[in-house]
Amino acid sequence: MSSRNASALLALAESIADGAPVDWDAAEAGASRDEQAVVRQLRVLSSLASLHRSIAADLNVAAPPRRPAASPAIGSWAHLKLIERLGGGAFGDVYRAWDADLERDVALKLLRTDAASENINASRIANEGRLLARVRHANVVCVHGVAVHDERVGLWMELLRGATLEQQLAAHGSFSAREATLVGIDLCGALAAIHAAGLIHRDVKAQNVMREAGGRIVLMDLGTGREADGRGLRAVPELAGTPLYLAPEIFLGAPASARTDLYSLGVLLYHLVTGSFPVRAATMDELEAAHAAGARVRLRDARADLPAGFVRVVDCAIAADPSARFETAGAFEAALVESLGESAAVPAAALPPTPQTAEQRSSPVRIWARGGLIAASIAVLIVVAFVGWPALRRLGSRYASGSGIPAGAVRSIAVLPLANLSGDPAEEYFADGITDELIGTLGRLGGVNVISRTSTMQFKGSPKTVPEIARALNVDAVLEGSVRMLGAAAPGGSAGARRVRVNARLIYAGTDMPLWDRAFEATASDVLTLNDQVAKAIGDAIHARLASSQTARPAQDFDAFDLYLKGRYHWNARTEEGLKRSVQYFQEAIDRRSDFALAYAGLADAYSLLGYYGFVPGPESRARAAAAATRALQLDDTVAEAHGSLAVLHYYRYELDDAEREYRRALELKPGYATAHQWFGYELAQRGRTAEAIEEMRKAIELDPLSVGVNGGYGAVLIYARQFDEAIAQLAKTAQMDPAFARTHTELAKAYLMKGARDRAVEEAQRAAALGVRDVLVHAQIAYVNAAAGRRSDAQRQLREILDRYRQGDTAAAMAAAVAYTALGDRDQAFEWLERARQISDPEVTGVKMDPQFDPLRSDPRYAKLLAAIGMAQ
Amino acid sequence: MDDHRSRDCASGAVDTTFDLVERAKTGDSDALNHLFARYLPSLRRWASGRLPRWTRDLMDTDDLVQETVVRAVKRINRFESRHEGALQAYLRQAVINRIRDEVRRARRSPTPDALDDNAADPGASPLEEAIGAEAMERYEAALERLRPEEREAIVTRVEMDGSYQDVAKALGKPSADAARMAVTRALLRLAQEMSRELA
Repeated sequence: MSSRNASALLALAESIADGAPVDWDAAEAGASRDEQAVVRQLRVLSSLASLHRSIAADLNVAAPPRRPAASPAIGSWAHLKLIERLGGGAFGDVYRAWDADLERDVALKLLRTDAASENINASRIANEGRLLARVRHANVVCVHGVAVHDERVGLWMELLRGATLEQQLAAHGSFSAREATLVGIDLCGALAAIHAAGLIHRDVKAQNVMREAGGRIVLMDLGTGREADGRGLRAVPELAGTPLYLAPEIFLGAPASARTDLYSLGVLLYHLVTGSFPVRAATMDELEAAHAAGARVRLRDARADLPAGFVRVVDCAIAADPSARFETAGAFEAALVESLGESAAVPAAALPPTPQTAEQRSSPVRIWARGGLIAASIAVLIVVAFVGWPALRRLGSRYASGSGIPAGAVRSIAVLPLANLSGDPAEEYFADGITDELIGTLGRLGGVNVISRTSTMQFKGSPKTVPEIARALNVDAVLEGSVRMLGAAAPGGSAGARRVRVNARLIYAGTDMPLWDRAFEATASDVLTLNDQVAKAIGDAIHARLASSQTARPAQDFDAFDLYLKGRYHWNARTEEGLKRSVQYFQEAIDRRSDFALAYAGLADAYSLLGYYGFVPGPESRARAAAAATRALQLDDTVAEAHGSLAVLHYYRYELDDAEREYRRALELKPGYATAHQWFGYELAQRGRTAEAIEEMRKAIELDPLSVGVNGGYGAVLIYARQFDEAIAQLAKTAQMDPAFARTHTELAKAYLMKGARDRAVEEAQRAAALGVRDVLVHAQIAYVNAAAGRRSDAQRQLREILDRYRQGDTAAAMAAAVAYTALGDRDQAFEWLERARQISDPEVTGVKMDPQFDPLRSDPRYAKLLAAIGMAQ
Repeated sequence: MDDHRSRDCASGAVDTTFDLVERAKTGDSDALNHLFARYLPSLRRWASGRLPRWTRDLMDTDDLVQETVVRAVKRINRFESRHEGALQAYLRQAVINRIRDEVRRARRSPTPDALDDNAADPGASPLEEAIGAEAMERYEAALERLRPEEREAIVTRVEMDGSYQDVAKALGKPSADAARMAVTRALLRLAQEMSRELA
């Protein structure tokens, strides 16, 4: 390419970069054959660049930070710079403003400083903000905040760019029935959210609905809204709302209600397709008289070409008799959806021009008879594909209808940790807590395994794809999503009034396709109901039934529940600090609600683990755990975790039958309780019921496939069952999962010794030693391997250290000493230390019956006596 | 009434992107918020041109972008802080991957569209509708073959509608003029790559 040509091309590129106009036809004509291809691509780039610019101009999103410098402010209020006045009314002005904190454009409604009306208007705007802030819905304008600054009340909210439906009607004429239906469906969602928040809009009209450039429908101006509860519902002194949209009973003095909002929506749809109103009048008197006389123009008479289904829905919505109307926004929406299906199947274009009755028009049979079966069905398919399906698809996502997988295709689900979208890591506990609760709730799904948190938590923030995760966890479906707390808690107030939004997708791993994708929203105090909704939606999609909840929940006390979640969050860390903090949180939750069974169960779990890891002396931890578990069950006999804790406590007291009973009860209440399967399996193995034990452990692994504790536990059970090859394979796999867990290596060493592979055993023991853990039983196992491998002096040195630990108060060292003495062949000492361990109720003693490392003791008469003393008589 | 607290934006402005990313990864919410403020608005706008309409039905664009950014920031192992443009390009890629996932899933969905070959592609985004899916594909493929700096110049100026000052800042160029020259050259390179793709 010559340099002259190159500079011509560069000049074109420069124009694109600058956004300057180019005569592309001329440019192409003037280019050489070689260059023409490049010029054509530059032209594509030019359209791309201008498309990007137009998106930037069209959409309601904050401009990049350079905006304030480019547009000089005309004033400021609080943290907002006023950029331009958009309009105003009697009460104040509306500005486009720049929020310097969050670097975005907002709309600011600023009260006029008019002393006479200040109080009324101030409260009016503040009321609007307060009410709107309670509603979060994609089709309701999003209010960012309300404040008083410089004695002016301001309400700032998202800046909407687009046109109101009234403006669109004026600019483009009447809407088609389908367009109106789609608008109606969105507005039903908006009203459902408003009504669910206990509010009534009272001013649904075409001027108050914005269609944004991207097509989003937004309901605005809830300024006249009133809370639906309490007194003063009577619409006096003002007839809030534009009179032509008002339901007839309002004129008779009836209060505004959800049904009058729905009536207004019906009028709005009527208006969109006709440009007119069902009840027409020029003055208020005329209007009242028209309503009184029941004078109305039926939609069919106002516009003849509308689909019958649509006419039927609007007629129902604007029936004069309130009881003949839709009861809820949901019912209205369902009817609109249905009518959409009908109208899609009966395209106006396919209709012959001859006049027909509505009934004839809605009958597909009639179409077939006239147009021929094949032609009509093709038309139907095309119309459904073109017109119906985007709506159907969206509705599918809302209602989880037609998930498209056969019953039984999903037998296992993993709930990935829901992402915390609060932007505040301090709220991580909440997203994790909701994830855990959801896992718990899903445990009520019949015939479906739900993977435990230890396994799913490993995928927190993971870049792995859903099919990869599904494979790793061996599940059929994966739920992923996010949690966001909306709004801020009032200082010192309850967080229960805040709203929680969960976005979730259920993805079928077989096709990597979402079965549904939905947003769930509720007030924080209702968060458990929200979990039930998610669980129900999952159940519907995979054709599984969700058993009704048996567990009593803290009655609407979100703060207590919140403390409980914080407790569980720290408990899950399994560190000394985490466990001790969890005790504090559980205790605080109990202080708030002395009847909160779950918090007692949490407390029992916390003390159990504190004792197990030796952070709190065994007897003290066991006593506290027993008290908490007992109290939990007194309050609510159906808390599975409390039965699990109690089982462990029985086991500590060698009351093995009682332990079994509690385990069985826990698993009956919560079949997906992986930890209970694991502990119960271990206990069964120690009692010699190895076949049952293996079954329990396999179930635990199914539920918690990536837990090192569960996998290692299965390895230990296989050693008890003397299936050493299987044990080695299982433990080697576990060591790969987490090479830093010392007990896996010592168990592996034991399995190698049993197979006679001393070198491998020593190798594993050294790996365990290299980890430098404090766990005295690990030291005992290393001594055992050394002794068995002929390294007696090493073993003896380790025994001395273990005895030192015992003298320093480490009670677990008694059992460790027994293991070391057994290994060194000193039976007398071995029995003596076993007896000491038994006297301090060390549960590890129960290992003597099946653990092959105690084989050398079995012929001794003291052995049978010991077994009898721990409830394990042969 | 919400008593408004002013936030220290000035200190945020001098934080390097590198610092912000490092802090955000350790869970510093201020840092994450600063990154959000810096990148979310343009990414949201950008994503709205890339997202097929039905995707917006399924999922709020803001949520999609925000969620993707949260995940993407956490996933950064080591951010080579050559300049800010690199992070923007990285985040853009994360969002594009996410959008592709969504589109891919939708194309496998057992909806009636499978019955009709003539139906509009359900995955078409506004941009694809405007210039055609093939041209978009060609554009994306060619963009990926550019040098990182060229790609970042185009993303910042053309896709994110940034000023030349923004481009200079993003690419570490000494002046707006230098940034303008970089964008121009990158555009020409891109057009050449695209025509090669076509041939």
